[in-house]
Amino acid sequence: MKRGFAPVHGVALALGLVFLYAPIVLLAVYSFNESRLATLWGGWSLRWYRGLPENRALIEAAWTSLRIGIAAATLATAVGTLTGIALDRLGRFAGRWALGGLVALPLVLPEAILGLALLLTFIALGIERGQGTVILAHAVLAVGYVALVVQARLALIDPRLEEAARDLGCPPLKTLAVGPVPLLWPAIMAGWLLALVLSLDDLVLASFASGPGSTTLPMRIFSQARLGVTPEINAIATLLIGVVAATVLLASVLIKGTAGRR
Amino acid sequence: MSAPIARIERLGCRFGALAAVDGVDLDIAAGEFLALLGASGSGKSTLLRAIAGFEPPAEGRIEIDGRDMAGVPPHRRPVNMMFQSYALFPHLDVASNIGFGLRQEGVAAAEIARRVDEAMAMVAIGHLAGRKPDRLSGGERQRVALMRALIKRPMLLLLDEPLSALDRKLRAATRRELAAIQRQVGIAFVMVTHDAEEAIGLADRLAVMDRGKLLQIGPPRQVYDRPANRRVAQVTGEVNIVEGSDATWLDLGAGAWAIRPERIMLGERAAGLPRGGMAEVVELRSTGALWQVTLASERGARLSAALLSSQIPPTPGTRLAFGFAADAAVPVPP
Repeated sequence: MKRGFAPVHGVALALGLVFLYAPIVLLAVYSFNESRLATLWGGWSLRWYRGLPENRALIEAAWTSLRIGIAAATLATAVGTLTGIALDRLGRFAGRWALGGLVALPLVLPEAILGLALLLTFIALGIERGQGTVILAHAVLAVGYVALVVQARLALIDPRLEEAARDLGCPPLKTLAVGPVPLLWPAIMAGWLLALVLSLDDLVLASFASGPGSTTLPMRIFSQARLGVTPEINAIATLLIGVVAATVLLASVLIKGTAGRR
Repeated sequence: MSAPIARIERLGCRFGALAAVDGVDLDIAAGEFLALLGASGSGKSTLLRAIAGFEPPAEGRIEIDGRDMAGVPPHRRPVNMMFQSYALFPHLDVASNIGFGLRQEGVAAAEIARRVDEAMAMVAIGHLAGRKPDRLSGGERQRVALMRALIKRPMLLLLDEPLSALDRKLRAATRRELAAIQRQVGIAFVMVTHDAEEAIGLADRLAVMDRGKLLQIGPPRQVYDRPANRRVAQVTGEVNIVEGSDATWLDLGAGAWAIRPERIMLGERAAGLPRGGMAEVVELRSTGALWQVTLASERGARLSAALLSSQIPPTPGTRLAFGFAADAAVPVPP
């Protein structure tokens, strides 16, 4: 069957891209705006980027976000990888179905509800809110993503490899390390990157779970934007988009690259 | 037969309600080449996996080297397995794949290197030491898998359809190589296959399985020539099953009889043979090495005969005499 590229397809594609990306492009363009007024074009300039390092609060928030992101991603990857392995390799154990559903639940649950639930839990357990609670909240959100990525990859790895390892004298736990895990690395890395991105751009969970000293970058941007959109916010937001896009790209290359190879 | 190195007694394996292996008794002698022959679903692979420790038996026992294997996990059994798809570790090169088992035992690096070199030399793959499995041909992969399983010098080597992934031409050469290696290392081989020719050509003893049961075991030619029942006759090769009124036509007694096509002689060669008669040639086909002749009696009973291509084939449509020796027909209960 021949697949032509009719003009109607081009129009549909253009409309779709405009709808998806016009606001983002606008934001990026205005971050290079000379004018102090966020909506008035005053010529190209890098002054808002140059000014960023002086905005202590913003830089502080960026570092906080990064620290929380790395910690949450690492935690989520550890738990998510083990969960993915359990879901694909432990056979039919009691509660497998329930575990699969529960892991995926945070992916579909409205974030506000998840945030509220976490907040109530932290209060009930008497846990003081701060960076630690934000890390936990983000890890809860990301575990499902990591587990799904790992499970999908594992399903492509021949279980006979583990049997061969065991047959050759490898004890069960070590089998995981020598059998599938070396082949899983790209999926685990992709899961980690996705978890990092989820954490970096989360506002809702962070707002519920944060306490003193744990203002993340999205929270800072949100609170500044409420006082009025400054070109400075456009600049930091553009940087954030760049980082997130690059990370997601890397993650998808990792996932695709390994899926293509047998 | 010398003292068995493995005994399997009344072994049963179940998948839900299905008895995949059902009351199998089997002794495996030191140094023998045993083939387990059966169609897919006959339980032969399950039996192999039970010996390796991957399928827990529902009943019966497996004893290897005098030790009961109940509760002994795969990595502590003195057996190794060569998997059907080879299951080579894709992230390890040939030398690391072959040395994997020795590394698990904590053998010194120098000793591992020496034994891996020796193993690679045995099947002439030394030049491939640094290659990853995805850059090997099918035959090379097969050799790596074989050496990886043999390097720990197990009591018993289990081979799951070791030749099925190879193309036909390579299979014949690899079969000879496999037989030579088995004689050289002197380790007992238990090979699962669905290919009767392969099983008969390789094995010292042939065990035929069907629906989880072990139907017959013995020297391959004996099983082939004197099948204990109809299923064994069919699984071990081409066969005519003659029963009822067709048996009377051939002067055979009541019940069912198995006659191999190559035992039926045609024309002049049939002269003087105690059994036989006249029949019409209804079909003639060549497989290259053989002529396959389909004969029909006046009442429509069919027999297939096989003769070497070097012989002159009969003409379809003609009537001719056929005959066979008395021992060519073997009674086969259903």
